[in-house]
Amino acid sequence: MVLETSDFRVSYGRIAAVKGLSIAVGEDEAVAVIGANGAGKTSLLAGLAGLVDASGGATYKGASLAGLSSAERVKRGLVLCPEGRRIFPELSVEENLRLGAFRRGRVGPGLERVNALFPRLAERRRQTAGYLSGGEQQMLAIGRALMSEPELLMLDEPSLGLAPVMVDLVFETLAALRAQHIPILVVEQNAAKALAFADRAYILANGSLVKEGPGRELLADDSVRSAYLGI
Amino acid sequence: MSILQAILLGLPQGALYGLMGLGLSLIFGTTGVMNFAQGNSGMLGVFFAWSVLAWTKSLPLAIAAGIAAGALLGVGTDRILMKKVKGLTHGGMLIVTLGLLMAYEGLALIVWGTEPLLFPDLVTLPPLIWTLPPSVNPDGIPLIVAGSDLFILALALVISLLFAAFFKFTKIGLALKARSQDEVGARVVGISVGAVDSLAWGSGVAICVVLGTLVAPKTMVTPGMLTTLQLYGFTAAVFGGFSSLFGAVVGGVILGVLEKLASLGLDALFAATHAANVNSADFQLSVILIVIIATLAIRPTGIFASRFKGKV
Repeated sequence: MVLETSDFRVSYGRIAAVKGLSIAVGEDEAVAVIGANGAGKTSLLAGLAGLVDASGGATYKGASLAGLSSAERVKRGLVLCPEGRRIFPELSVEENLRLGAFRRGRVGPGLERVNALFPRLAERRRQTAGYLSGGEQQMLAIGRALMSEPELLMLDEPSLGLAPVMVDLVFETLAALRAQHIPILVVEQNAAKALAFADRAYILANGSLVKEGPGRELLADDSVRSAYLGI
Repeated sequence: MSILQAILLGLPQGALYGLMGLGLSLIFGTTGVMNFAQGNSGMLGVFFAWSVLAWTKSLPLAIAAGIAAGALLGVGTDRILMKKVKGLTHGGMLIVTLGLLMAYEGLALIVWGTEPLLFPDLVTLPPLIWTLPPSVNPDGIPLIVAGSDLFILALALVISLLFAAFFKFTKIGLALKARSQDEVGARVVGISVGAVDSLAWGSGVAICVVLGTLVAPKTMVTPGMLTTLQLYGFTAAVFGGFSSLFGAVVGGVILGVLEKLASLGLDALFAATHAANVNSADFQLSVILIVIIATLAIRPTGIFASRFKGKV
């Protein structure tokens, strides 16, 4: 397992957002976490990335994450592509990508990978990132995360707010990364797409686990279909 | 006084405003905190430099010590105070830094007393005197730039260029820009936001100490020596757009020139209306306040505003 949590908790003051989750991501696995708004999906990733305080056990590549700063986690290859893209709007596309390699100190390998995946970004590398379309900004956010040379790539709502054709492109990209054997942990509201993509998935409600299983199996599950897919 | 002479007087004055604005917007742009104690932080640094000077008799050493003390004060403010009140509203931040302003003033009074202290000029340069041909300068009075003004201009230019280069060519500079544009984005690429914030605070206050040592020979070292200048720096930064460092410096220079030109125009006006007992210098502050109000009313994001956010 590249990532394993046990009784993982994230709280904001007295409000518990993640209430003791035990999840795992394998060495060569794509895992999805789905659930309604407020289920604790974003808090889970924020806790794993070290953006918010978390308690309980979390082991990444065999070592505990406890006490590690977010910068230290990025350095070890635990990389988050955050919700809402969070690119640097006034910097150029290239500067955004270079910043992705901030903790790596080398730009070359990441840049090659990003250019191959997103030729569009390569074309626009001198453009100010804030002027990119929503879909392009999402590409940039994923590209920036790849520049950190992730050994576990976490993505928070990568398809949020995108046009359907861009949603397809995002999941095609994830599939391409999956084929490059990068372990992926993706949080999504688009349950149908996420379950179809993932090897395994967890379903959260109110900060707790309600179901887990192979993505295709959950996709076929009647209770899941009615609760999360609206079918 | 000719218009050219007014501009020549306004430039170094404006450079001082610009440096004050630079420090203010460096801290505000990066961390989102408006430091109302900026001038007084710089003032403490100058007092410290004065003490080191009295003790060691070495001006370079004293100034280096003052700048270092200012940087330390800035980092300390960030680490000890600002980390604790993180996430406060703008109003809350204002109260906190206003409180600091008063505390620093009190501290200076307790430690160094109320007597204004003398501070020597950093360098003594001869003034520049130009006698321009009558076609350019009809009244025939030569243009003069004081030696200390030349030094201020040169230093302001060097500091601005150093910062521009730092932001353009270094990885840390890029990280600072990134952090100012999106904190979460900065954290997920592994930028240590705490370190970047401390850097902004340290260098922001250090600039203010440099500025303080520049004006100290004129104002003398007193607890209130930088209070007015802070207001001007504030205006420069508002004028230039708070998140743009370049804007703060240019805004300051424009402001300095504008102030002298307005004073020139008012002089002419008062002379024409025979109100000879009115001193135009009394109206300089009004000019500044009019600029601040006009900027906020017409273009609240400043003339060099950033395109994708409005923090103010």
